[in-house]
Amino acid sequence: MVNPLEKLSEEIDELLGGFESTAMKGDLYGAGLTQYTFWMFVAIILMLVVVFVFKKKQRAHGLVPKGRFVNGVEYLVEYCRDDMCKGLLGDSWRRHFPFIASLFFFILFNNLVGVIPGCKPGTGCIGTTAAVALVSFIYFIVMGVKAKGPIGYIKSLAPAGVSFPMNALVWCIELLSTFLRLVTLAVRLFCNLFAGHVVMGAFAILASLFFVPLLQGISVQAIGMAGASVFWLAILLVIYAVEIMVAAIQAYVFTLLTAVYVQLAEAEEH
Amino acid sequence: MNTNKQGLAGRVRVAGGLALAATLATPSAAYAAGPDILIPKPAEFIPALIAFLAIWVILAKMAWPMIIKTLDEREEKIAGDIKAAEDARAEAEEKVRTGDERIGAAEREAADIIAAAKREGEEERSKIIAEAQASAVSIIAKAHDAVDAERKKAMVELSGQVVDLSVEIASKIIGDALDDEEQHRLAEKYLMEVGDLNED
Amino acid sequence: MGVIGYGLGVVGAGLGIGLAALGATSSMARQPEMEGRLFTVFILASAFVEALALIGFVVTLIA
Repeated sequence: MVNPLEKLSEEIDELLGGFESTAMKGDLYGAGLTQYTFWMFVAIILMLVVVFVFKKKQRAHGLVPKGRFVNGVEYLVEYCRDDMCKGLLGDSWRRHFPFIASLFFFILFNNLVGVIPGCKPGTGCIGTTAAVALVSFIYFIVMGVKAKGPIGYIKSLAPAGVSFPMNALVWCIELLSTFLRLVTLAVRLFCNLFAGHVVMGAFAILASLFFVPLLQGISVQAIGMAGASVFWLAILLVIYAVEIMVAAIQAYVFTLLTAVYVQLAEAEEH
Repeated sequence: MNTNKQGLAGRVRVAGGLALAATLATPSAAYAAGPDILIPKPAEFIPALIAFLAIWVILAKMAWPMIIKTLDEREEKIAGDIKAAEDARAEAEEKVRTGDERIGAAEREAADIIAAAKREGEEERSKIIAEAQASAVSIIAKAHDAVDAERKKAMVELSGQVVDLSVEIASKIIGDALDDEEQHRLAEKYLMEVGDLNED
Repeated sequence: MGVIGYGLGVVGAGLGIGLAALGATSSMARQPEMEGRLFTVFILASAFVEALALIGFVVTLIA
């Protein structure tokens, strides 16, 4: 009888290899199409369909929202509007809502598509998350510059009320942390999805490895291993449920942090 | 908060699972992604950038303003409807109150009228009774007076006749012993005495 | 070694998120009307703590 765990590291390597971006067409470092980009476009098409169908259906019954679809999407939109835009940005929420909502829907749909077995999250590679993080980084800096002017914004990085030598030091640290925001935004989203999918894959592999002996021949040991396989499967299901939540929470966190950064960039000196 | 706690527990479990996976993965050297995994690949970065900017522009131009407008309109409509309903209710309450007031006033007026009528009736009755009593009293008094007068008249007549009769009787008995003048005086004197006796 | 280091790092992150959850839950119990705002703050704090754990994860993969 072969110990299933012996084959595990091999399988995990294969799994991790599967998570690496590979070009389905073209070149990885030039123009090409990777599996993540493909699923990103799937998620984008899904999102556009949902948003435009929602927009059409929203008016179908006058001003009364009708049906689960309309109410569900509307819940998300109102969540973006009330919790993120109105709650954090205050009066200027109307200006920022299109960006914040687009960001939220883009990430949410990418994450959710990734949770479907067989699909990959568009946000599961650093390329996509870095692109989105770069856009929101530039967005909040532009908003800060618009609100305070270029020199005013650069000055406002250091908190007021600190005397000269400390002032410069704090300014340097703040500058560094501002640029770190770009990195943390991208890495947080990527790592959450990547790690979550690796863990799910690992437990799926465990479940299948422990089930294989039963297919080769029925014995007491094989049945015992199949029982262990059921246990791995139960853990896999729990992690799957958690991953669905993580998908939503990470979309929320990314958007919320962007809103916070915009608010900080626009905030008056204090 | 339940989901939140679950998420937390889940995350801790994910972290644990991660440690397991990493432990299991490390011994083999076949997979050596290294830092490569954290370097954005142009083949992913550029399409994602373009796609996200395109989505932003498309949604900002074609979807969000309308969606937000619909939500705003609905909110305004709901607020307006609630206000209208409140106004209507206030108006209805006002109407009910004025109606109540009117009914109350009418009831009070009716009660006043009834009371006045009763009072008048009472007054009328007592007046009639008083008049009746007064007239009865006067009738009785008149009757008494008439009776007295009759009696006096009868007495006077009677006494005159008694005097004449007694004079006649006395003259017949005594003859013409006494002249008329003397007789009358005597008769009257006796009569007075008799009358006094009678009256006593 | 890297894996052991990552495990140690996760202890810190776990403690951090646990403390954040402790504070959030006890504040919510005290002031239920602040729940929405507290949840947002909790998620933000968790995200920041989690970033540290993820940096550890990435370093493990790299090293």
